[in-house]
Amino acid sequence: MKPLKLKRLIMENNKSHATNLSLGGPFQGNCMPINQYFSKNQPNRGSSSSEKRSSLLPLWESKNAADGFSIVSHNVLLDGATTILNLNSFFECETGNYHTFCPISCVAWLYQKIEDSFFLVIGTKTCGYFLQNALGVMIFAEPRYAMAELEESDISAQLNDYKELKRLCLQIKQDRNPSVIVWIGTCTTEIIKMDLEGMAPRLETEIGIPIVVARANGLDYAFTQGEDTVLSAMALASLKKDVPFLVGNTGLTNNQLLLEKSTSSVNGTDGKELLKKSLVLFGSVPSTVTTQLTLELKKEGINVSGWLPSANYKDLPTFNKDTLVCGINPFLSRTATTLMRRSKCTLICAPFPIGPDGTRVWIEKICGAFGINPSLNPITGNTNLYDREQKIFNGLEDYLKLLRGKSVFFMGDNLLEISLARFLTRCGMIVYEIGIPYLDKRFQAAELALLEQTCKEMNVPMPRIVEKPDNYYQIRRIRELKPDLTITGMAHANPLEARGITTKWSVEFTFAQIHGFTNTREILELVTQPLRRNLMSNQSVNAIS
Amino acid sequence: MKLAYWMYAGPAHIGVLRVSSSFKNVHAIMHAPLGDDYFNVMRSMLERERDFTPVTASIVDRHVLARGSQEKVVENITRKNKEETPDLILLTPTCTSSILQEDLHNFVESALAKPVQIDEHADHKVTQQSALSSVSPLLPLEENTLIVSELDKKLSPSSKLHINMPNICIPEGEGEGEQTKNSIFVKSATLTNLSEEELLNQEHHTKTRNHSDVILADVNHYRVNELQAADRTLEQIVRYYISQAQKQNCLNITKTAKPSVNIIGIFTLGFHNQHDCRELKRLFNDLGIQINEIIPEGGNVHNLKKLPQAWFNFVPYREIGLMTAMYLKSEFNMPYVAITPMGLIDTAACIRSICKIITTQLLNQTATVQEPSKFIYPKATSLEQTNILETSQKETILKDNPDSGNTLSTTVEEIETLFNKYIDQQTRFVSQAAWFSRSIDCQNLTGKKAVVFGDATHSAAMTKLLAREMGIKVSCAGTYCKHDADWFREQVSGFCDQVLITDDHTQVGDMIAQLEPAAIFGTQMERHVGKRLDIPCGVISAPVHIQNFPLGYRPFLGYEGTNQIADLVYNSFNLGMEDHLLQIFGGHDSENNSSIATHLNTNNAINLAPGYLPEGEGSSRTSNVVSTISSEKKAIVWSPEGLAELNKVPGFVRGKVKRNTEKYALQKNCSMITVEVMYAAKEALSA
Repeated sequence: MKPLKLKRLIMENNKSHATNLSLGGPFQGNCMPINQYFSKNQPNRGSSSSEKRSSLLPLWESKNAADGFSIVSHNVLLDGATTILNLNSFFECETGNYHTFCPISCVAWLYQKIEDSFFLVIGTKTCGYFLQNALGVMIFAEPRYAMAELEESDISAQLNDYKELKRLCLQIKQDRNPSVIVWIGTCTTEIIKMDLEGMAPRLETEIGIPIVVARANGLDYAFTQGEDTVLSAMALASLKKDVPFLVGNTGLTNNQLLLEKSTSSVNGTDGKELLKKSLVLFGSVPSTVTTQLTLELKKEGINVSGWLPSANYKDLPTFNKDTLVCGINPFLSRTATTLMRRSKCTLICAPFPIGPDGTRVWIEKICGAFGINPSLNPITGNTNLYDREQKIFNGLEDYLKLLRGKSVFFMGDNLLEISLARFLTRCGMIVYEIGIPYLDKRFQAAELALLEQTCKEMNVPMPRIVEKPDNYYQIRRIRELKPDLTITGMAHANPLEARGITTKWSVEFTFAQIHGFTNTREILELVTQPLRRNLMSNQSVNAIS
Repeated sequence: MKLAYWMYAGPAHIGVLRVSSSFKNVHAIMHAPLGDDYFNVMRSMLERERDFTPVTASIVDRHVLARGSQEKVVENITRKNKEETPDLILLTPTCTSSILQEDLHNFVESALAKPVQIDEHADHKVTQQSALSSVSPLLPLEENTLIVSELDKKLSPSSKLHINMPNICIPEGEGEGEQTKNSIFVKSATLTNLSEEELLNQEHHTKTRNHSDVILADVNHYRVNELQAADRTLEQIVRYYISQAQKQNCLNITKTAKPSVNIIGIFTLGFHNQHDCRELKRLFNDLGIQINEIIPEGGNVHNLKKLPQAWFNFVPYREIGLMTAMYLKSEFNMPYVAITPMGLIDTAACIRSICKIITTQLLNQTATVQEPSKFIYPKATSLEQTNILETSQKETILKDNPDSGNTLSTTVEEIETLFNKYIDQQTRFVSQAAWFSRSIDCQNLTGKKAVVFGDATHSAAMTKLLAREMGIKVSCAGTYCKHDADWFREQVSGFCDQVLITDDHTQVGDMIAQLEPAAIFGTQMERHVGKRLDIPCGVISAPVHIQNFPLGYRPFLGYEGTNQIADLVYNSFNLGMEDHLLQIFGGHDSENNSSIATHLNTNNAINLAPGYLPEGEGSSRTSNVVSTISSEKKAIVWSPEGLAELNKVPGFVRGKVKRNTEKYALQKNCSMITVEVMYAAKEALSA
C-alpha cells in the first residue's frame, strides 16, 4: 500500500508545475532537534525523491558556476544553489488538506490598486458568497467588480457564453466605462471548459474595451497566487498592445536569467550596456509603498521605469529584452516566467523587500544587476544600505525584546511565509515550521538562500518547510511544540486561541503594508500584538486574583 | 448569466454545512476545490467558535480532476472516521464540484464497504464466538441498510475491534495509528473479560465509535439556496435516523408523560438563534412544557429517534425546519406550530395555538388511556409553579381544581385560562413593549414611514409588528425568499402598501430611494443602502454579520424579544426632540470633520502657488482645528508631489502625518517638504 500512496503524492505534486516536485525526503543525519522530533511523528514522508529533485536544478547550478559574478551576488547566488541541494532535507509535502482562501480573493485588492479597472468574476454563487462573506468586501456600495453568476442554463450550455458575456460587458461599459475589464476565470469555468481566452479578443474589438483573462481558479492556485495569474495575464496583454508579433518560441532560454556581471566590468563596455536597461518592478502594493521603494532605489541611482500593475491600466509598462524585472512579492512566480519567456525580460533573482534585511539584499541585487556599487557611507565605511538596515534594527529594540528567543509556527496561507520567517529569524525568533501552499524553489531561491544564511548567522535551526500542509497534522504538531506564536488562517485562529495557543492572522500580512525599510514597524506591530496582549491580560488576571 | 454584486442567501452547500456542524459529533466532508471551504472561516469568525469547525475539504485539484476523486474522497472519509470518530459523516459537493457529476453515492457506498469487507474476513472467527452473535436481537431487521454494515452488528465488539483497526489504519497515519491501535487493543482485551450481557450492552456504543454513518447531502446545488438546502438536509438526516430506528425496531413513539416539544431549526450562523433559543426554552418552561429535543444545534444524531416522543414540534423560523416538521406530521401525525413568536400579538397567537395542541392531545390521550389525571397533574403543577408571581388568589383556584377531580372538559378550560392568564401577565407586566407602544415616545413614531425587507419569517413578523403594535406605516414589505412568496403575501396583506419579492438588492435599494422612508428594517445590505441615503436602518434578518452575534442577550422571539425589538425600532428612528434640533441646527458633529478637510484644501491651494502666503486666512482656518500647527509661524512649503503623497494617506490620520512631517521639517530646516522628507520623517518617528 505504501508505494501506491507515494505515487499518489507525487502525482499530486505535479499539480500545475511539473518542475515543482518537492516530496519531502527523509531527514538527514545532521538534523536539528526540531526535525528529529518530526522525523518520528511525521507519517507522510516519502523516501526516494532526492534523485528527482537534483534534476530540477541544473539550470541554476550550471549557469551560476559558469559565469562571473559580483562578489556579493556571487556568494549569495552560489549559496542559493548549494542550499537548494542541502535544503531539500527540510522540504516536505503533506496531503494538502489545508484551508486557505480562494485565489479569486485577489480581486479585493487589485480592483483598488488598478483604479480604472473592472473585475468580472465568472463563477457560481459559491464564488460570490465567498467574496461577500469571507472577505467582507462586496458590501462596499459601488465596487468596481461583480460576479457573472453562472446559472444552470449556463452550465448545461443552453445559453451561448459569448452572447451572455457580451451582454454583461456592455452593461458594465455603460454603467462604469472602465479602461479594462479583467475576467477572472474560476474553477467552474475550468471544469466546463469555457473558452475565455478565445472569446476575449473577439469581444474586446466588439465592445472597444481591452479584456484581460486571468484564470484564478482553486484547482491550480492558492490565495495570493490569484494576483500572480492577473499580473501574468497583464504582462501578456502589454505584449499584445505594443509588439505586434507573436512570440513563437515559448521555451525558457537559460540566458535570460540574469547573469550578474562582476563589479570590475562596470567601467568597461558592459557597464554602459547595462545602464541602457530599464527596470520594471512587479507586484501589487499600495501607491505609498511603490513611492517608498522607488525612492530607495533612486538613492542608489536606479530609476524605476514602471510598475506592474500600475495605478492606471493605461500606464501599463512595456517589456522587451532590455527590461530588467524584479518581483516584490514571493507569490509571483508565474508572472516572472511570463516576463522571461514571452516578454524576453531578464529577471533579477533577489529576496523580497520584506523586513530591512530583505530590503537591503533586494536593493543590492538590483544594484548588482545594473552594475552599480551600493553607495558608501564615508564615516563608517559601510554601505549606506548596511547602515540603514542597522539603524532600523536598532530602532526596533522595544519590539525585538519581546520577540527574542520566542518561537513561531507558520501554518501556511499566503505564500509570504518564507520571507516573514526569514525576517523574524533575523529578529531573534525561532521558526519551528513554515507551512506554505506552494513553493517555487527557483523564484524563491534567493529568499531561501537568505533564510538559510540568516539561520546560520543567528545560530538557530533551519525550519522545516511543509508545502501543501495538512492542517490536522499541523495542529497536532502545534500542540506538541507549543510555539509562542502561530501565524494561521482565519479558520483556525479562534479554536487555537481557545486551546491556549497565541495566534495571529496570516491574512493581515497580505493586506498590511509590509514592504521596504519604512514599513518594518508595521510587520512587528502585527507580530507583537498578540504577545503584548498576552502580557497585558496576564497583568490584569493577576489584578483580579 | 447574471450580473451580481451581492446576494441575500448563500449557496446550497453553506446550508448543508450549517446543519451538519450544528449537530454534535457530525463531520462534513466537502468535495470541493481549494478555497471553497470558507464556511470554516465564517463559523469560526462570526460565531467566535472555540472548536475547530468539523468540516474537511477533500480538495479537488487538477490532478484529482484528471483521475477522478473517488480514491481521495473515500480516503478522507476513512481518515476522518478514524481521527474524529464522528457519529455521522455527511458528504457534500459544492456548486463547482457538482458539475463534475461524479457518482458520490457510489463513493459513500465504497467508503462503507471497507468495514464490510473486513467483517467478511472476520466472519469465520466470529463463528467461534457464535454464542455472542446469535444473541443479538436486532439481526433480522438489519438487512438492506446501506448505512451501517449488517455484519458489524453480528460481531462482538471485541473481535470487530481486533480486525477492523489494522485495516482502517491507513499508512499515512503511522504515528497516530499505532497509538490508537494500542489503546484499542487494550480496550478490547478488557472487553473480552466482560460477560456476554455487558458486551451486548456496549455493542451500540462501540459501534458508534468505530463506524460512522455516512450519507450524501441530497440537494441540487443550482436550484436551491442556502435556506432551502438546510431545510432539506435537516429533513434528510432526521428521516435517515428515524427509518434506521424503525428498521432496528427500536423506535419508541410513546409520548412523554408531561407535555413536551421539539424545537426544530436552531442553527449555527443563524440570525440571533442562540438568544432566541434561550428565550424559547424559558417560554416553554413557563408554560410547563418539557423540551424533548432541540435540533440541530447541539443535538446528537442518535437522539433523533426520540423526536416522535414529543407532543408536538415547534418551528420558530419557517425557512429551516418546516420540512422536518411536515415529515414528522405525515409519519407520526405529530402536530406542529409554525407561528413565529415575534411581537406581542404573534407571541400570544403562538402560545394559544400551543395551548390548543396540548388540549387536543390531552383529549386524544384520555380517549384512549382513560387516565386523565395522570397527565393533568404534572401539567397543572408546573404551570402553578410558573405562576407564582401571580396573585395568591389564582394560585388557590389552580390548586383546588385538579384536586377536586373535575371532568376533562373543565380541565381543558382551566388550561386555556391558565395560558390566557400567562399571556396577559407577560404582556402587561413582564414585557415593556406593550407599555412602550402606549407611551409618549412611541406616539412620535405614529405614521412614520418604514420599509421592511428580509427573510420571510422576520420580514413578515416585523411588518405586522410595526403596523399593529407601533402604529408605523409600512410603505413596502419585501422578502428575498422567492420560494415562499405566496405565504409572505398572505401574511403581510393589509399591513403594508406594497409587497416586493426579489433577490436583487439593487431593486430593494431603488425602492428605498424612491419611497424615502424614515427608517429601514432590513438586512446588512439595506443598512448600507441606508447609510448611502442617510436613512437609519435596524437590522432584523439574515444574512448574518458579526454584529448579529452580540455578547449580550438579544433575542428577537418571545417576550424579551419584544423588548429588544422595541429598543431597536425606537433607536432606529431619529429620536423625538433630536429630530427637531437636527433640523434647526443642521447638526454640529459633521462640521468639525469638514473643517479639517477644508483646512487641508486651502493649504493645498496656498502651497500649490508658492510664494503666496496669506497668513491671516491660514490662521483663521486652522483655529478651528484642535491643534494649531507651526506652519503659520514658519512658512513650510509642500512640494506638489509631497502634497499628492499626503493626500494618499487615509483621511483619519492625514492631519497627524501632516503635523509630524512639518515638525520634522522644522527640526531639519527643510524649507520644502518633498516626498523624501515625508518618508524620512516617518522613519525618524518610528526609529
